Amino acid sequence: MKAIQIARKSGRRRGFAFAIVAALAVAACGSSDDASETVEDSTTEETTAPSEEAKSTTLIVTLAQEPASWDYYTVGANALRVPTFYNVSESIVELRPDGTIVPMLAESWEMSADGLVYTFKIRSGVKFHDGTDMDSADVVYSMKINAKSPNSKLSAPHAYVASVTAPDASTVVITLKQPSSTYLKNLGMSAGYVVPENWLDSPDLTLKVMGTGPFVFSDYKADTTLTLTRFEDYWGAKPYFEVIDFRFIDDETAALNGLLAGEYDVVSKVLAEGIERVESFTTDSKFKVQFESANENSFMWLSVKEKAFKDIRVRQAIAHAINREEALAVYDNYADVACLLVIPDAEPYNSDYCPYPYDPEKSKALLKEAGYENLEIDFPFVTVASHPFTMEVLTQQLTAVGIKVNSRGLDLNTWIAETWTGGVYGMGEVRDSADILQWGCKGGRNPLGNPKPGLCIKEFEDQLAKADAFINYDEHLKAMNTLVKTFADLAWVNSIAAVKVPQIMKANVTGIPTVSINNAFDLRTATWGN
Amino acid sequence: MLQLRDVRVVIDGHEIIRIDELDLAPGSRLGLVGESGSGKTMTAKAIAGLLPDESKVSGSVIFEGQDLLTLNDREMSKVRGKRIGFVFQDPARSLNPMMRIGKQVSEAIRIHSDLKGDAVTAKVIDLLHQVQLPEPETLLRRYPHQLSGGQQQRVMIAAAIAADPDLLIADEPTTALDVTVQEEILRLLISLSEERKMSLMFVSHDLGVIRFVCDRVAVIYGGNIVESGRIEDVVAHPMHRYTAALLAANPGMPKDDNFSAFIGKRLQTITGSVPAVGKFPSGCRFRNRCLSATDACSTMPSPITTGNDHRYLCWNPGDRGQS
Amino acid sequence: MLKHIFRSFFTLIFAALVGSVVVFVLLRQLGGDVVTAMLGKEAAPIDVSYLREELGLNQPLIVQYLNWLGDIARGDLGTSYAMKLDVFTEMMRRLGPTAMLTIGGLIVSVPLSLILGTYSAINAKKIRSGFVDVFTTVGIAVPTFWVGLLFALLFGVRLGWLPTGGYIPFTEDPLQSIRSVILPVAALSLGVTSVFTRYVRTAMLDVMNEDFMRSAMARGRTRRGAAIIHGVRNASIPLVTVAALQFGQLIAGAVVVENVFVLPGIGRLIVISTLGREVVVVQSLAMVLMLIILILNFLVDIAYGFLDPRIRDKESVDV
Ligand SMILES: Nc1ncnc2c1ncn2[C@@H]1O[C@H](COP(=O)(O)OP(=O)(O)O)[C@@H](O)[C@H]1O
Ligand code: SF4
Ligand SMILES: [Mg+2]
Repeated sequence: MKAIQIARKSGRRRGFAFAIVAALAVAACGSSDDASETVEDSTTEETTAPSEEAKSTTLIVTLAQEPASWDYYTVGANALRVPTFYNVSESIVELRPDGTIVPMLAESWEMSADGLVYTFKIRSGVKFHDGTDMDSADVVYSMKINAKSPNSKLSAPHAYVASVTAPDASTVVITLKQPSSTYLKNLGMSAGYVVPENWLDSPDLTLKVMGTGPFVFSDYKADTTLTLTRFEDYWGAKPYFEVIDFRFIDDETAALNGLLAGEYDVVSKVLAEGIERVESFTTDSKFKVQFESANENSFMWLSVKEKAFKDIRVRQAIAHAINREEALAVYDNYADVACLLVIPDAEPYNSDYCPYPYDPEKSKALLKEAGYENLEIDFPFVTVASHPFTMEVLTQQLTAVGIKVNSRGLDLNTWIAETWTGGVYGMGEVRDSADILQWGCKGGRNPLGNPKPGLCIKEFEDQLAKADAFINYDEHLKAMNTLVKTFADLAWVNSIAAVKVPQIMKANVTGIPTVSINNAFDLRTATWGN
Repeated sequence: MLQLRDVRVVIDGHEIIRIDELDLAPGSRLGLVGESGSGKTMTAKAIAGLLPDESKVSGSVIFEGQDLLTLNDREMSKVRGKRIGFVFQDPARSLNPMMRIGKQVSEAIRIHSDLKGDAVTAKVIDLLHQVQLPEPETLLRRYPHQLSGGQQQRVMIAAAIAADPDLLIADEPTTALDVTVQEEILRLLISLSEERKMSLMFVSHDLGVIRFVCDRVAVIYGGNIVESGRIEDVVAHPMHRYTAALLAANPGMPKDDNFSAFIGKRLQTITGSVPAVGKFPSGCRFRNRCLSATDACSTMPSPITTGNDHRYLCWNPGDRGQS
Repeated sequence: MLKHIFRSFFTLIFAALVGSVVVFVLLRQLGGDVVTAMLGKEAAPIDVSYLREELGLNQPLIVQYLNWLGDIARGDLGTSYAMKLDVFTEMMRRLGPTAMLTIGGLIVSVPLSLILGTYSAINAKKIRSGFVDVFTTVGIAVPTFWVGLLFALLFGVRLGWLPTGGYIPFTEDPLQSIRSVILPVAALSLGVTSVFTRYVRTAMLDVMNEDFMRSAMARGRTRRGAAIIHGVRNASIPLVTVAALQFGQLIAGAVVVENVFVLPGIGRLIVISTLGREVVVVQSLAMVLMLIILILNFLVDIAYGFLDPRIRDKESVDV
């Protein structure tokens, strides 16, 4: 329970400054009114006058992160996909939040019985935002470049593609070298991006996102705004809003203050110091709080280069030392415990299998047995968002079983270079996509594989290849179920929690989905409700 | 016109000035003489209301019927410059290095009169003429560092008398200057005081200079006025042993207007040195250096006044008794 | 004088060069590069060195440095790696908020510090000056971001008088533009004013002890009058140097305030570019800022002459 206090304390530290600021604000006004009440008063005018606002066809949304550039082909950051996927760019098929796959740029498709050949009928009458018509040549071009992208989100799913051809202007045929149960689903995400032919050679590649979506990427001012305007030639149902005014505000306090002051309509994500204020919005009728399933798990993993970790008892000891319930405090409990590297609600192959529940005594015993009673671990962590708080909790829990944790804070890119792709570390912690298929030796997003040669566990690799190759859906699910358990058993990677990201908006904003596909902040159906 | 009564200045618990009585008659020129550190400047500052913030002042400084010690800074600023002018020892440092001569000379005029623009300039030029500075028209556009020491002091004097004060207090105005320049400045002060019927309080450590300028003298030691009277009386019959010692250090002072004769001999040292603040003995402050001290001297002597207001505070008064 | 200017100019260029090497080397100490920043955790397990090759990141450091320096010498600040934005254009676009912040900060803090510092010096021994001391102590102790938060919350959220953040270009809507920088300028000015007030106080206390101040009072100036008319100008000589140094402070403060109030200024550009490993952007901006600060110091050198007639004369004698 001591650990909970630590976690809470770390949370409080963030809250402390805010509390004092708030207290001063109240005091400075010389009023004895309750602060939140007065806050409501000041925003009453805007929020209780929906007649005014209901007419507004502009939606103002804050974004916490900004991509290095808008080159969708290279840039890996979620920040690029959040405002543009679905809104600006579209994929061949659409992956729905319920897991079904529906037509998008392909009107229909067929898969051959052996699962190797996909034939897509391309939708006619689709225009790119530059005014040109989309046809099968654009799709072929897009699939071919996506396969070569340095961004694994785009290229990894195409690993088994043998050929992409266009027999006619409205047909595309993709042939795989081996069946892949997840290939079509991936075409509903980044791997299925469709851009106009030769877009990679455009001087605008880094400056805008080009697509066929319901909104045009019309204006971008770095560090300020991204303006999307409704695409009047859109092939599908046109969205309500004519203008989406995205504001880049990385400071959550500033974003939430602006929301309170009525300057913004939606704060798209609350990830860090704003977490503590979420509750005050849930109880405020002027605002609505949604919890977006972020398709992200928080997990920690161990470096394959450390001699100690080659002993499974040491890894198990570390796994047993982790108290997940307690770690939820980092997210103010807007998260679920997740022992498997799976999003609990999103994937049908999830289970409550948890091979190494919290058991500090067992942890100590295992360390003793393995002869690592004085284990020291180098733990670089990212100094933004929830990571410092997770670091505190993990350090505290590991220290409790006698492990010495040497934590060091790094900025994101140093951290990536040293930890995710570099190999200079003992253990790491991250919030990232939980897609287990990417964890293969050849799969891509796998810090264990870096630097090469990494860790290729035959048992896991075999299961992984098999699970993806099942054409039968149920068999695939069964294989996946085994796969994630095997992965958890290995204890190289210990999933901690599946995180839900609070989204806060004015109470009358509706139509923003709570499950995010490919990180998209999907505004196709957003409108004013009442 | 100026009467000091029981003026005490205490800084950090030390009594730096204790003047029971000091008078200055209208139109007269009073010299205040004493060794360095005897409290001359402090006395001048006490009159001007320019003592350091931390000083505690009591008693009264009656100027033309008004007790200056009861005035606040704002009220006192109406006295300074307008009714009492001041000239200080080091002209180079007493002038604002970043302000043109003309502006500094005209400052008192602008503060205390309604004159404006050209009228002020005309008056400044006239004042610079009066203090015998060459080419006033160009001079007033110059900065202090472009002038010699003597010229700077003339500027200071012009600035001090700009608003036609009734009293000019000059604190060692010539000490920093060389001998020939000194004489010119002293003669200037004398003539100005005569022409303008302006009283003068002239502060110096040099009895010879005082004798050249003044008709009356007050001798100060350890913050006390130990003797005062007409200059001839005091020189001829010094009663306090300190005055006598001062005179002994300047033997053979002739009684004519020959300045170099007065000034040729610098004050020789008196046995011992002026004690530091707080180190003065009780009773007669001079007691530890006085060759005629007796047991009685450990209590403060009471004042004795003889003819011509010759006043002194000494238990064993004498006439050039020491040596 | 000419020789003096020439020498100052040479020192300035040399200082800028040394500074640029320091910035260049320090930036290379950060982990990862712009390719890391672009690909993030999504980097495919393929060889991406062609990206580095394309961006010229594989060249020897000395070549990279000299190329950059050559561009600077030709007046070309370069382009960003990822977005391919022209650094000069981007800098000009972001000049607005930063200029409004720093100039606004100067306009507020310089007169205010002069008033407060002088007031405190005149009343040095009185309780009144204690209020100024309390103000400056608080102003120095309280972090700028915190003051910013407080202001945003109080005047933005609670009272709704001013926007909590964001920037409207002056050319777009002058009134709204000024409204959008009032809180940031106030937040920025608090710390700078506090520090500067202390300098003013010290300088004024020194000047107050000068003989010419006594002379001025002897001519009928009140303490306050003398302080304002004679003191401030004399105190300004040491203060001008401090002010030039404080300008650096002001820019540093602007970085913080730009973040709190979401102002897209130069400060944020430096921070974002550093985080994104846009080394050319950071180098060029650092160079520009260094030159501005160095030129400012150079001007201060010359300004001495104009402020202090003694130095002016001495220099004319030297030549
Ligand atoms: N600001 C001050 N604070 C405390 N003591 C002072 C101050 N100024 C002068 N004194 C002391 O007061 C005494 C008289 O000084 P002063 O009037 O300047 O002497 P004089 O002008 O006769 O040379 C000296 O002992 C000196 O040390
Ligand atoms: S009172 Fe005594 S000590 Fe003082 S001067 Fe006279 S004789 Fe000397
Ligand atoms: Mg003196």
